[in-house]
Amino acid sequence: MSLLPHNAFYNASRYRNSNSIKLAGLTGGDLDIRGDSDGDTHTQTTAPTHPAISTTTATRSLSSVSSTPPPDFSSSPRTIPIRRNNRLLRNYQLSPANLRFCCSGHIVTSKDNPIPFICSIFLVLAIPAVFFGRIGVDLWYTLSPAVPIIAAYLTLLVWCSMFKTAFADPGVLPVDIDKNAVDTFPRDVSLRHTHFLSLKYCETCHIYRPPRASHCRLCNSCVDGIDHHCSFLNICIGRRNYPSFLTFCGLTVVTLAYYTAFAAVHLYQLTQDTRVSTSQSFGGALRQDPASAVVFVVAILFLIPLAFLLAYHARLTLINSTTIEQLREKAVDRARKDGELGGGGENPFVGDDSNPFSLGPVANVQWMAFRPGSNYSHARFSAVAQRDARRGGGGV
Amino acid sequence: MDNSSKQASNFNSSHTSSHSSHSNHSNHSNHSTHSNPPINLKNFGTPQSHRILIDLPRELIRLDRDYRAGEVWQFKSTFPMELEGRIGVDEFKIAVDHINNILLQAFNPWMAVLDHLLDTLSLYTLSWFKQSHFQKHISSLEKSLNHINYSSFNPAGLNILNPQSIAFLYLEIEFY
Repeated sequence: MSLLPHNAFYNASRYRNSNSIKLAGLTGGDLDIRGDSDGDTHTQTTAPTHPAISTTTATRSLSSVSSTPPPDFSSSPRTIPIRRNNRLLRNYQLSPANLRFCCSGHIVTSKDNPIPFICSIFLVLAIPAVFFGRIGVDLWYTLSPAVPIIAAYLTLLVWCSMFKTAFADPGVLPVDIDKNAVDTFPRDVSLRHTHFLSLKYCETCHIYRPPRASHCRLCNSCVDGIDHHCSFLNICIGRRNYPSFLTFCGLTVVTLAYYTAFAAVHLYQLTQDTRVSTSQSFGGALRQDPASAVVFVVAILFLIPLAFLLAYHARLTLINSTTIEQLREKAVDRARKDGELGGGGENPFVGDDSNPFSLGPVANVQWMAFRPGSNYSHARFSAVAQRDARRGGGGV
Repeated sequence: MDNSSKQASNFNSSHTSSHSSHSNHSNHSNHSTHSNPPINLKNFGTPQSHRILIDLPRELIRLDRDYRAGEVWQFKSTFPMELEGRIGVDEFKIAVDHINNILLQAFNPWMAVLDHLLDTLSLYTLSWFKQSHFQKHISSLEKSLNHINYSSFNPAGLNILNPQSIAFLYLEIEFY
């Protein structure tokens, strides 16, 4: 037993037991908790070296809670990395989620059909390419260098937001937390004293899902704060990437409007006498640069549906709701209208008209669009998988 | 550590559920839950008999999430009966309130707005160099848990585990 890492600390706990008995006496506890197990006599030898012991010889009070641990003290159980074939495993290699991982788990995408995602990547690359290749260069000289520079920053923002939304963990919850649950009935919890929610058990992930989490069939994992599974980004939109998804939608609309406006300006300038053109008719301008017209038309074509999407999500953000909750509410409303559901009230979303999560417009926008902890991942796919060193067995 | 396998088997056979009526999540064989009576309270109220962080705990007590403050991650500070005789109600409440307070500070909405805006404007490169307000507080939770465990919970034969590994869905207290 010479390799105990927590020797000094363990001594402290033995010594301090005698003090907590006094506390238990003060608080009415009548149990003798000074239990000695076999094999702990060796710990007594190093006991006086512990710095905190002298301070605890006096009767313990609540103020003594402020004794500071030594700097290298850790109260987490020691973990050892999991290995398979003598190679370190990362968390994503143990994840049952239907996700495709890349760059040792830093890049996450769904294993669903990737064709819509590839199409959207193509569009996001092609429209700026035409804009900068034909419109940007001309406007740099004829109007101002600021026009293509601002367009470049907007485009970079769109690309980064899209990359972050599509390739980051959307908020996947760890599996098997409630694996040995005694029962799997829904559990009722009260939300802000006014609403009751029932937490459902996920049979696939073996966890009681927190409120607003749902299981995504395509990703085969429970996603916290799920909004929807986006086929165009090939990933769920959840707690972690909803802020960057909103940024992506908003900036895409702004950027497309910017492209449209300056494509029109460019076409107009081509009819004038400028550095790149001579005075000509509109048809001549179109013949000289059909790419401007293409950018104008394509940008408007995508601007309209994206503006509707943005408006829909702006409304959801204001009322602190999600797409999935809206669909559920609509389904329940329809069922009620058809008379399939008598009375109502058993569903937390129909008991009253108000959304139980709503906090007021400003707080709703803060919570939905700038979610605290959206950089924090529960699943930590790229981290090296660890297991409790106290448990036996070397494998997974 | 010749007794580690013995401890593990003991832990497996005697694991019970506790306050939240749920047991440990990892490495359990499923049949034990179904063949054994699910509620087994024989370990509670007994003195500490295992070594903290060296042996496996005899029980795992889970504190549920508290949704009364909304969606912010908080834990119920109701004193679980299983801890009776080990730790005082006040001491327990101070510890849980301290953890809740750290989480509440981490969820500061204006700091989140600031972090997100700066991160977006810097093309999401700021988060490579700078910890966000949230991450700072979550890492300070580890330090606070060390403090609480060292000064009040470990002397009583208990150890609060960091809830990070279970997505902050429960606050787990090991019972030795």
